[in-house]
Amino acid sequence: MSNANDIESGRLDPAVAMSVQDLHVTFYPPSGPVRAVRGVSFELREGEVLGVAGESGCGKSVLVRALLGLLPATATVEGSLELDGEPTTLDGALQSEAALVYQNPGASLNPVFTIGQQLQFVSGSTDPTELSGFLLQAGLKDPEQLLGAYPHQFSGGMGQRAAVALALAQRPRLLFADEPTTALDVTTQNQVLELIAELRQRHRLSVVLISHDLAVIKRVCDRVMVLYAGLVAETGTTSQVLTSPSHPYTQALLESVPRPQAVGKSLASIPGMVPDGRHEILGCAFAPRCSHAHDACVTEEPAMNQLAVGHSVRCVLSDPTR
Amino acid sequence: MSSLLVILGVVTITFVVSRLVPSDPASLYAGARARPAQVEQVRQDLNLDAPLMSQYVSYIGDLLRGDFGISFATKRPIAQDLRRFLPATLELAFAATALSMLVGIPAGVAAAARRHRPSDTSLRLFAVLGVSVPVFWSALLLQLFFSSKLDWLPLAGRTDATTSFNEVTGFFLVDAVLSGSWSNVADVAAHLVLPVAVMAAYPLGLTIRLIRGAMLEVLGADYIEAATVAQVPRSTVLSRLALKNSLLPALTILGLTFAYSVSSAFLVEAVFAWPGLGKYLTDAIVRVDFPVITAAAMVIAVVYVAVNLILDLVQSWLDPRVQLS
Repeated sequence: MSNANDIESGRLDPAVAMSVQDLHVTFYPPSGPVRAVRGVSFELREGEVLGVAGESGCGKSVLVRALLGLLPATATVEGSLELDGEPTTLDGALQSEAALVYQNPGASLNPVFTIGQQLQFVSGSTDPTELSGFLLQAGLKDPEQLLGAYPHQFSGGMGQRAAVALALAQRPRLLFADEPTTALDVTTQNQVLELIAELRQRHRLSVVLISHDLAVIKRVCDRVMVLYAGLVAETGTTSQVLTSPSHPYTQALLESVPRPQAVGKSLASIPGMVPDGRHEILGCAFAPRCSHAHDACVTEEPAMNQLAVGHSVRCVLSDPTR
Repeated sequence: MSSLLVILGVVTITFVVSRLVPSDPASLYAGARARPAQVEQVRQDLNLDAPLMSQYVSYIGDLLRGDFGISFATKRPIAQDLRRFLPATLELAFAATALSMLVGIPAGVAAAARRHRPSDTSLRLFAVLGVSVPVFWSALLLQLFFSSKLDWLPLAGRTDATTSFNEVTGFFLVDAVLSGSWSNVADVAAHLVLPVAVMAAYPLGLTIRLIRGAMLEVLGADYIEAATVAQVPRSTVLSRLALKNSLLPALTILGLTFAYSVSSAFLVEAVFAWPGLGKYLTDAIVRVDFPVITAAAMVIAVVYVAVNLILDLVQSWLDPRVQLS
């Protein structure tokens, strides 16, 4: 436990568990190639929760599925992946180290098998004590009884806990959570987020949490990576990115989070849509929707500029050479 | 309870219709060349001059006692005929349904697992042929090839003329096994091959298509992707995790095809000279033999009701969300 405290107080930098370099994902539908991820690099440290933010279509889910080797064979995935410094293939090799939790437990739990049976399939264990242990770790009461229950007998929150138990039964080091709270009501959302935070502590899980909701990310994430049109727009610690957002897209996302102080005012929204990956993007992908855009934004693609240790932004406004 | 009402409804409707059509049961029974006095005699013997309501009540009473009446055409008790003809058809229908499940379910799973690859394409072609080729044509072709040309299988009938054993159940395969003689079993089985193959073509093609379609849908579900990430072996994912979700629609249709094949086995039975319910019923319809038509309609209704009951049980076993009241 002292180790975890050291990490929190910043005295010890934990080792890098997973490192992704220059990941590209392209789909080839009949209408022409779509570049869903266009060169994403990031590191995930041991016991760290990394938030991946961005609106629908920015490449969050595709990124995770590419790393896990879940994309159809018709998609091309390029880039390099390292696990504990060892090069790893992107053909699903990561599956043995990782588990994935989905948005909707109603769809991620098999409706025709009991929770006990599903835990058995996943863990390979038939020992009821061990199986109910997974449910207990996911914060479910009366686990022995729940082993015989079917998913439709669960509430949304219980279902998501059962889905987390299934993930734990894979004994993962990495946990990918794709919008794990989006389908839940607010009270249950908080419980599931607390569960994820607790598991990270107890099992030293490294977590990648995908969410469009910056309020969710603020609660549990150590670092944030904001994606836009398949590129990293801004990355840094949660406090760096959320208290001093430097990319106009991050700023706009933050403004569209409802706040209790702003009751009565209309909620800000970002005009326009994420560009679809079919067209080659010239300049900054966000320029057409950006209120700060000027000529340079349309002609040249902005590079990543480091603002502080660990805080980088892909925006010409933050370019120190200008 | 509701099943009993369905059967009673079918009996009542066929009874009423048989009395409404403009034909006189007494003269049908007495024959074309009977004198009026003889027809009158028959009318009294068969209680046909009683009011319709009392005829209906006594008919229902007879049915409950297992008495289906007497055939106008053959003058034989219908119950006796049914005991011979129904097992013959059920034997075909059971074997055809079992074959389509044993072959169709694995084939459908294989087609879904190898989507758009040559094995999938050929299975789909086979399935389309199965549901679309008319049985009388495939039956004749199979007879021509396997009986006449190759002489591997018997042309028609349920047994060779020289084979004989005790008809205990009416299901000859069971009876042959009970007789304890392997040559009997082999003979009965050889006679079953062609008619069963012909009869199974349609449900088999249907099963392959339904299982393939349902599997493709299920294989796209989150819980299947989750199982992939959890490194559950692909064979377990296909044969257990995904299949159990895909079985329901296919089994429902298969159950109904079974019930349908009992009433529509006529074409197969005609080509293979199979003494079954279909042939019996068709003969009765041609001869306007109402007691037989009514009895056969009731038997078919019972088969449908029984199949639906079994389907309900299977459904509640496969899908925990379905509760039997």
